[in-house]
Amino acid sequence: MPNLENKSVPDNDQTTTSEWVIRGTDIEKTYDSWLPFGRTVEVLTEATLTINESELVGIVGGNGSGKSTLMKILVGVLERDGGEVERRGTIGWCPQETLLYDRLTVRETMQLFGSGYGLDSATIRERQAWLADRFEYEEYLDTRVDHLSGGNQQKVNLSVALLHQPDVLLLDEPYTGFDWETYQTFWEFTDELAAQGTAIVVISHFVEEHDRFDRIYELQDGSLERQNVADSEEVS
Amino acid sequence: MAVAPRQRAAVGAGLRAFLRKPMNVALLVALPPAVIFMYELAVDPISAAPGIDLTPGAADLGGALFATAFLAGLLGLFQVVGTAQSDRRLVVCGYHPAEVLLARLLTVLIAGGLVAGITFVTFWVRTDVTPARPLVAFGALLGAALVYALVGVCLGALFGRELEGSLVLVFLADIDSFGSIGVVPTESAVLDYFPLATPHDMLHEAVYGGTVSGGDVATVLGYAGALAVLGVVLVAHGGDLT
Repeated sequence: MPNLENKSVPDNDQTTTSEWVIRGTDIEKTYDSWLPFGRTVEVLTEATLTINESELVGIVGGNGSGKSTLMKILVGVLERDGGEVERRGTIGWCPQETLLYDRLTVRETMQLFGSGYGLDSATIRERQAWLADRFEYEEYLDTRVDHLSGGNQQKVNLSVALLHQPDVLLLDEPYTGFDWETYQTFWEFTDELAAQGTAIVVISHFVEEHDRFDRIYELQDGSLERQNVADSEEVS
Repeated sequence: MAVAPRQRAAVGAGLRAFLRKPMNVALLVALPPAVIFMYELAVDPISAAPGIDLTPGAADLGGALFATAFLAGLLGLFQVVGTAQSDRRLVVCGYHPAEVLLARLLTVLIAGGLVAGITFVTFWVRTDVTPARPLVAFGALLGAALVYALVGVCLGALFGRELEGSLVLVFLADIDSFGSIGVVPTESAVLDYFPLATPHDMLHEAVYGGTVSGGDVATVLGYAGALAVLGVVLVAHGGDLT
């Protein structure tokens, strides 16, 4: 259960004047099956949100509420049934499951995804060294992904999203498996990125430190309700 | 970044992923000699049965074709199923979907060549058969590997799971290899359209006649082309039957 009570505020309450980087309007998604007697699940009905540059936005919701579905639609890996999604700038996506090639080493993984981002080998090596130092996994650069612990796999999963210094970061349960030190490093890092103009969306089934976010949405019954961060802090 | 380095990176990743799976390496080394041995054991008694008329060396040819087809099919299947989710992320990271698909097909073709090479060497060393034209015989096995690697790609896209795909693959490759050497007593022409029918004819001609038919080569390439198109359509549109 999300640790927020239903204290929605109007979405037009945003006072920021910064540019939007992702805009989703009336997003709809239903999982259907073409097999007889298959279940139909209406996940998103009219989810609407706008993410601006330099913002840190949280999206919370219970298990099965459609958070990951929403994120996949925002990223563009899942087709929506209705509504609109507009994006500006480069995207860094850290999915909930570590979507990596198990039998590649960390270094090979970075080289592969870095080449996708259009980075040259020298830049990839430089960024990879910096991220490995920041998240403390330098000694595992030549270790295969499937030989890493869950926490270290998640660090690599996150690093792939950060490799090209994207304009917007979409993070689905990004700190799963992190120890306390890495958790703190993660938040320090997101603060620095937001200060540099990166928009960050964090999806989680619960959010502990509400004051870290500029806005928090709760996904409930297929739509997003904006929560008042100050009120949420009192709730927690 | 240019396309070539990205393709190199993606194909290299696919090959490493395949060759670093211990089971795949074990199958590559152990399956061809084991299958050829088992075919010799199984086919000899069958050839004595009434109504069955097998050419000499049919067991060796059948074993080589089955080992090639099954291994190459597994390769195509694992390549599609094992990387499907991560490939989507690769697309988010800037690869064009066609680039990823091309990288998967190139991986399958390169590794299919490796499979054909291993089975060919095993066939030559482990049996009494000496191909009249070794290079053409290798070409026939390469054709079988190419066709079945693409069959594996199609099955992987259809089922989306390794177990279900492998079961269908082993059943198909079994029927096909036995059918191609004439073990299945039928007058029906349907077996002529099975994937191994033409590679078998090519292999037989290369081993015993020392000849190669341009029509057979064209048929194998056409078959592979049609399967490649089908594979692309199935991968692009999904088709998870499970």
